[in-house]
Amino acid sequence: MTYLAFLSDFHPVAVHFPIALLPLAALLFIYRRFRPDAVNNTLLALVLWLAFWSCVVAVLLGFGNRYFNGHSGEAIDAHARIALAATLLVFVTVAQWSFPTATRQVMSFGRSLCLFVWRIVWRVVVFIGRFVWGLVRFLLIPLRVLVWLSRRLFPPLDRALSATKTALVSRIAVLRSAIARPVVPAPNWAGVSLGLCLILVAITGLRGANLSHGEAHLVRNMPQPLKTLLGVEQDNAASQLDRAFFEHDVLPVFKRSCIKCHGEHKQKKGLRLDSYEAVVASGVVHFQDPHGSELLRRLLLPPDDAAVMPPQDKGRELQSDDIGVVIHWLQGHSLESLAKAEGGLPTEIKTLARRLPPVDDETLSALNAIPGMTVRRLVNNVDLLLVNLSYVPKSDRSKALSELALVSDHIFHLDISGAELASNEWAQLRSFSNLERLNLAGSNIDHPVLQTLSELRRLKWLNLHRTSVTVPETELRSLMPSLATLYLPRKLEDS
Amino acid sequence: MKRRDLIKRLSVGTTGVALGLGGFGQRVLASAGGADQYPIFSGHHFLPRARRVIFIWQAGGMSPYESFENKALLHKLHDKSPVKHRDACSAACLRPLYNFSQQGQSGIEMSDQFPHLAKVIDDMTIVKTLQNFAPAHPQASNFLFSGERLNDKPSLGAWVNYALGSDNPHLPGFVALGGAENISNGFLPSDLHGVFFETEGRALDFLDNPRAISARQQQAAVRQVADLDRLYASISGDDKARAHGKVFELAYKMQSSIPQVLDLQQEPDYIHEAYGLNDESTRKVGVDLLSARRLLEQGVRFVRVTDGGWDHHSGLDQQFPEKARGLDKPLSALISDLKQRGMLDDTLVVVAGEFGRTPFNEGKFIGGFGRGHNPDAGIVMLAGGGIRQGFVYGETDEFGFKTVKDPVNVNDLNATILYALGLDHMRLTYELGGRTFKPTGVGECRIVRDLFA
Repeated sequence: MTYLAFLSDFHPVAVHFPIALLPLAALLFIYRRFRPDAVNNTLLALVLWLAFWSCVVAVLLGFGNRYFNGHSGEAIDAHARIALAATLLVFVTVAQWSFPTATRQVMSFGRSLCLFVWRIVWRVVVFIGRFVWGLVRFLLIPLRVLVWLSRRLFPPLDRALSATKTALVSRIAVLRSAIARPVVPAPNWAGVSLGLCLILVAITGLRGANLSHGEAHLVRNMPQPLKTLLGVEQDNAASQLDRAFFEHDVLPVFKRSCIKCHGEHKQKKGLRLDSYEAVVASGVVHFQDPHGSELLRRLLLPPDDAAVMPPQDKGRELQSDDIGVVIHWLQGHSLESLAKAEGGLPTEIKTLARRLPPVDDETLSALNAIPGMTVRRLVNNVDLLLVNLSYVPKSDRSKALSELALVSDHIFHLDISGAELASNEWAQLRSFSNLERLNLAGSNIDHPVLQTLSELRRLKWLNLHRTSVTVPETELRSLMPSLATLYLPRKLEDS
Repeated sequence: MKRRDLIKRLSVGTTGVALGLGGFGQRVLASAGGADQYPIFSGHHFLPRARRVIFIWQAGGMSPYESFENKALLHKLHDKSPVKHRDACSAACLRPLYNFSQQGQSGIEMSDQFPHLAKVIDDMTIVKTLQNFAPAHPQASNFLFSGERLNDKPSLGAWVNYALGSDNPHLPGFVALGGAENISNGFLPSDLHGVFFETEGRALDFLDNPRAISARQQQAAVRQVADLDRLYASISGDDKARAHGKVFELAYKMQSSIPQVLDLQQEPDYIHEAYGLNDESTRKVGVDLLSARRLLEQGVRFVRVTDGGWDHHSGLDQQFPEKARGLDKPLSALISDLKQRGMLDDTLVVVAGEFGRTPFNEGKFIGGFGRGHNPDAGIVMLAGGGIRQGFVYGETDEFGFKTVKDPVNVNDLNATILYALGLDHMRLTYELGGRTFKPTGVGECRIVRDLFA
């Protein structure tokens, strides 16, 4: 297996043989037209056979890469499909030189089939055309009446129009006769298929090069006027993945954990993750289908899996925050769209949200299905949650809390006002590490529980109104230094 | 939303259409709520500043000149024609009837008719330029609450209920106290209609069961109805069926929840005193506002309190002090009570009439003082829910008759209320009969972001 994997790495070498041999065959084919004596069929067949077998070797090594070296993805699949088609076509071409009779029979059958299909298509086209023409004539009736009237009123116009019509009709008749009876000339199949071979191999090669050298490797340095002239847009496929977002948020993650092995100095498995172009061209990321991306699959594997990235023993594990950033990027979020979706959130909330892995709608639905519980995102597409537990019946509360444990980092505002929680239920609140606002008004919170809540480092707003807490405000504030707003039990008249 | 959800949802939609039952109103936004809730939003459009709203409607339209608009020119031209200055009207000008002084740290100028409110004025924003599209009460109130002239469109509370619902499954999301006008669900599902409670006496008719029916029997019957409705709704995709079942269930739940929530005896005496429940002149509004506070505290999303009788075409000098006194103490108590409870941080208090009143003395023709309708400049009082504190917005001309700077029309106001709740009035929409309806009527309007701190 290791030998096969080793051999497969030579795919990039092998592909150059067909790329060189096929144009040589084409050159010989053309030269034969001028000097039939210099190039005989045997020579041409030899070159073509060599091209064919080199194609086969390259394709086999390519598939070897796919199965033994883990190269996969949509771009790779497309590359493989076109390569297979090219190989087949090379065989068809060479077969015409080596087995002429058999080929001719097959070709003649193919030609009849083509003609048959073409005739049916032509009938349909004519039918639709007549229908459309009739419709147009109908719709143009007012105009035609106008023309008819003006022709009656102005004889010179009538004459001019008649002459034009005659001329047009005769020309159309000629055209029609030319189209109506399609003439498929007996082609020089060898030439045509050789040309097609060249085109297919060129496409295969270009796609393969895009995979190894980057999407825009040929037009990267093209002067701007030429680009405008040819309509070349750089990073066409990649423009969906936001570059600014990548450079701002994703690249730092890769720099921390990946580029030692996939960077400038080392490119294990030919993968580079140190620039936007390289990542996008690598084929390991899939736009908008993050979970179909090889990159993400590797990141999310269990830590003891042999294929997990970064490898366990390298001491560069990713945090869940980091993976969240990568997912956001792959989902096609741009910095702008994220900012828009976040509805003008303060920067620190934005940063926090972007560091958390997404919560999907199913999870949210499941949470909301618990009687009396309301869970909403702070802002659409920002997975910080506003949770109201106040109206969850006692019987469902432990279930609600255990379900909430799955999204404990995402809970941002929590309302438990008026509820009486058991001590083990209070204990669960400590895991809501990103909690910013906590409403305990009218609950059975007491001093010991309150002390455990000092673990909530981000808590800024706490409501203890209508509780039996008697701790002085100064003590509470020193217990929870992050608190900005604090409501204690107090009567209206005290204020 | 994941792709397979979309496909699931689409296939449900097609089934509905195929059966010819797909209701003509369709929810257009992705749902991530529980099986039985409406929440069409899994989240908000904007950062939600407020989580609930109390809208106190000064039905009739409070006079700006007896509350916040002190125009020197009117003192000068009192009982004289403004014709030299404006060729609009042959009526005589009417000066502000009461003394004005600056109140609070913010020094907002207000009349002496609101002594209690003056104490909490530093928590409030006063908008002086509320504009409406109609100068007559019925149309103007339709515009104020639904953004459209006719009264068949959903009220703002119903839209909020549609988007956010009630946090408490035992209480409705939209409650009306003091008056049941303009609380329709319009074309929205019928369970979003505002529920009107009487605050004095029995809150709601038929809260008690007939003696022959046990609570268990009734529960079983309600469950049957709701289950059948849910089944039909799941086959047909028809919101109306689901709403029907939900109304039954909610009514059943309210039999036990409402007597509890609206029992003001549970409140201590000092609260009764603060809201003015012990004084006949302040009792009506006081009871409504205290009930509203209790409802909001229990998870109701939107409470609309109607304080009628501000339409002072005549008798301004006798009736305005009564009305002002009736509102002043309870409103200031509400604001300080909410603040005390930590609720003012996420409760938006809106006090508005449908329009303002004119600087001219209409009462002159029938004796005494009175002012006509002025849809070009009215007062809105706002507090809580992230609103700026001690702030005045908008400017009127020297008569207080026309807005000269920062107009806020009723649709702007509603868009701003929705914004405070984290909702975008352009994205909170409902498809009906080929048209996309939004809560803020037709055309453009703006969110007045300046009102927020």
